[in-house]
Parts: sequence; structure tokens; C-alpha cells
Amino acid sequence: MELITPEFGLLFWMFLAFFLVFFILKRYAWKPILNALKDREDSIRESLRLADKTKTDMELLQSENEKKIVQMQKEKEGILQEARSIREKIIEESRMKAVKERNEMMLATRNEIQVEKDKALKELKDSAADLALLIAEKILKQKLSEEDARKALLNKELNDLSLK
Amino acid sequence: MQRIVFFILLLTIGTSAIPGKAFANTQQDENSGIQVGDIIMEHILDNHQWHFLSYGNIHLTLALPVIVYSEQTGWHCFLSSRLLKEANTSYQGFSIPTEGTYKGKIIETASDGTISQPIDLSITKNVLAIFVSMLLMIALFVSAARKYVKNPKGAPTGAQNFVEIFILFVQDNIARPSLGEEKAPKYLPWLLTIFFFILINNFLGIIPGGANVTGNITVTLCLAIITFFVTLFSGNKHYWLDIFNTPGVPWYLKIPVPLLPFVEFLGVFIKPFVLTLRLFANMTAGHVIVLGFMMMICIFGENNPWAGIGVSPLSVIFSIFMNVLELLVSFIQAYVFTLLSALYVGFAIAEPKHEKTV
Repeated sequence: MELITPEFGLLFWMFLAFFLVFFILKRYAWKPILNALKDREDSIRESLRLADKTKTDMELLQSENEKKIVQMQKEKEGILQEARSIREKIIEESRMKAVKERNEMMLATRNEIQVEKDKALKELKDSAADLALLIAEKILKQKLSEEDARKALLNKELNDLSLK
Repeated sequence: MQRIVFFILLLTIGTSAIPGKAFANTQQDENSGIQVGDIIMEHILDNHQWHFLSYGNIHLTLALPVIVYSEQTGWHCFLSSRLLKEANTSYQGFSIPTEGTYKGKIIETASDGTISQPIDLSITKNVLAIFVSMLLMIALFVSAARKYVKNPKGAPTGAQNFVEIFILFVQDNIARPSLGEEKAPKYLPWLLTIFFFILINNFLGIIPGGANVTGNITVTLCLAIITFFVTLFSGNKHYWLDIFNTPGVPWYLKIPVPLLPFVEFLGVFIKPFVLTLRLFANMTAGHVIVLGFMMMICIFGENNPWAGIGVSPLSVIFSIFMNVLELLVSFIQAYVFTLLSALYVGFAIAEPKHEKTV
């Protein structure tokens, strides 16, 4: 029976000790400890959040970079393509120009040749006439004794002299 | 590992010392046989002296101060050794009878022979054990708290580690689930104090020579009364409304005879009562079983010393098993008491979530 009978004295001291210790611990132990634990919990949570955010930021940045690289490559390709086409154009143009110039030159040369030829022909004709006159003079100077012989001689001379 | 072995060894050596003392006492009494029940009771109950061990005629006992208030003669304060040196010694009219109705209690015998019981505020074995455990708690937790203040962001070190596991356990597994995230901080200091008080005293109680504090009904009653009042004062309107007008039950359980409100109202008192009994019974039962196994050696030894020696390995092995089990029970009971206290308060402060009765 004594086992289950509460004792007043013990109850008194127990209450006293318990409340004393409760207030001491509450003030000097639980409060600082729980605050520190909460601070740590918060800081860990915050760090995790920050790490997560940084990770997503990095991923975003990376994908952006990749996009940029792809774009740059495209641009490079474009620039190269353009350069190539410009080069080809330039080459084509210069060739065309050369051909044109050559043609022009040939035309000019041909004209000049024509002019020179005409000039030469004219000179030739002039000199032929002179020659004819000279030959005629010569023939006349020769004794035109025989009519037939003179004629034949004249023909022969003319044939020899004609250039065309 | 070595430490554990040493600890178990210490436990067995300590508990083995108990029957020795019992032997010495009973032999002096010259009663027929060993009064096993009395011996066990002596170890479980509170006492005015702290008896560690006896060997032959050498008794290692700590005398404790007796503080009594008598209605006739006022306050008295003296060491318990004055009353307990020999059986039935009296000092200033006070004595502690070894049997009868007042067995183990301080009584005052007036000059005309009338016996009365003074108000006993003595520092008994359990009171001293409570003080010791409380000082231990203050030393442990205040020093841990200093470390937290000194190095708030750092990893915990030393005793801080040990303390933190349990504090976080109480916070995350007891307070927060039962009280809710917002209201938990308000009750946490109280929950932590009762949890560690029970845990430390459970552990100290297992140590041979230690006092059976948490196996004392007064102590558990005191803790339960605190829970009762905390519940009572934190109870909101809905808590009381639910008790006196329980929702979700047919009206005929409430109207002519308020059967359910009565049951619910009784529950308010039954809850702390059950808390009291559970802790008390669990701790006391553990100690009784350990002592019982040890007593087996004496019982067998009384008939034949060789039988006592023969049965002792069995007793020791079972005692070791029980002690290890008690370590587990110590933790479980601290957890259960704290959890239930938190739950009762949790019910009292819960916001109404009842569905409308159809």
C-alpha cells in the first residue's frame, strides 16, 4: 500500500525542484539551444535553396551559352558563305572584264588592221597606177614597131603587175 | 565496446551486492526465512537514509536530514541517523517504527503517549536523487547551451552532440507532430524538461544504489499533475465544448442522461492518472524483476549454499538481460510520457476540424 500512496514531503520537494529547474533551464538552456537549432535549420534551408537557385541559374546560363554558340556558328557559316560568294563574284567579274577588254582590244586591232590594209591597198593602187604609167611610158619609149608584139607585151606586162 | 562490458559488469556487481545486505539484515532478525518481499520493497520505496551496501557489520549509508513540522512542537531538523542507528530509536519524541501502520514513516509520540504523524518535509533518498538529477541536468544543458551561444553556426561537439540528438528528437518527433509547427515552441521547454528528467532518472535508477525516482508514484503523480494543469490552462473553447457537447454522437447519449459528457469529463482526470501509473508501474516492475532474480540466489542459498552458487549464473544472466531491457524501457517510457503529455495538450489546443454532424 505504501508503494502507491503519494508522500506529501516528496511531492513538495519534487514540485519545488521541478519548477526551479524548469525556469532555470528554460532561461539558460532551452532558449539558447532551441534558438541556435532554429537558426541552423533556417540557415541550412536557406543554403539549400540558394544552392538550388544557383544550379538552375547555371543551367539557364549554360543553355543560353549553348544557344549563343549555335547562333555564332550559324553566323560564321553565313559570313563564310557570303565571303565565298563574293570571291566568286569578284573572280567572275574580273574574268568577264578581261574577256570584254580582250574583245575590245581585238576589235580595235582588227579595225586598225583594216585601216592599215586599206591604206596599204590604196598605196598599192597608187603605186600600181604609177607603175602602169611607168610601164606605159617604157612601152611607148620602146619602139612600137610591131603592133602585135606591142599588144602581147602590154598584156604580159599587165598580167605580171596585177595584184588582185 | 569495452565501456559497455564494464558497465554491465558494474551493474551485476552492484546488484549482486544487494542480496548480501539483505542476508545480513535477515540473519539479525532471526525471522523464519528471508522476507524477499520486504527486501525488494526496501529497495523500491523511498527512505530516510541512502543505503548503498552492507558487508557483514559494515554499512555504507548516507544519513539524510529529517525536516518535520509538528503541530505541537513546531519545526524540527536533524539527521536521520539519530532515528535509524538502531531499530525504534526515538529522538525529540520522533521515531520511525519498523512495522505497523506507520512503518517507515516518522511519528511523534507525545508525553502522554498519543501518537501523531507530523508533516514530513525530510530530504529523503528520492528527494536527494531528484536534486542530484536536476543539478546534473542544469550542468549538462547549460554547458551545452553555452557552446551553442559561443559557436552558433558550427557543428556540435562533445556533449552537445548527445544533447542535440534528444532535443531534436523531442522537437521533431514529439512536439511538432502533436502540437503543430507554430505552437510547439511554446511547450517545448516543458516537454524537454520532463523528457530529460524522466530519462536521466530512469538511467540513474538502473545504477545499483541509485534511487527509484521515476518508479515512485509521488514523482510520477507530480509530473502528471503538471501535464494536467498545462492541458487545463491551454484548453481552448472547442476543447471544452467537445467535452460537454461531444460532436458526432447521437443526441440521446447527451440529453436525458449526460452519459458521454460525463465519460469525457472523467477522461480529463483519467488521462493524467494513467500517465502516473504507467511510468510508475513500468519502472517499478523492472526493478522488482531484477531484484527478484537476485533474490533467487538467496532463496536457494538459504537451503543449501551450493544451490545458491549454482543458481547465481542464471540469476546474473537474467539480471543482465533485464538491465539491458530496462535501458530500453527507460528511453521508451520517457518518450511515451512526453509524447502523451504533448498529445493531451495537442488535443486541448487543436483548432476545430470536425465535420458537421449529419
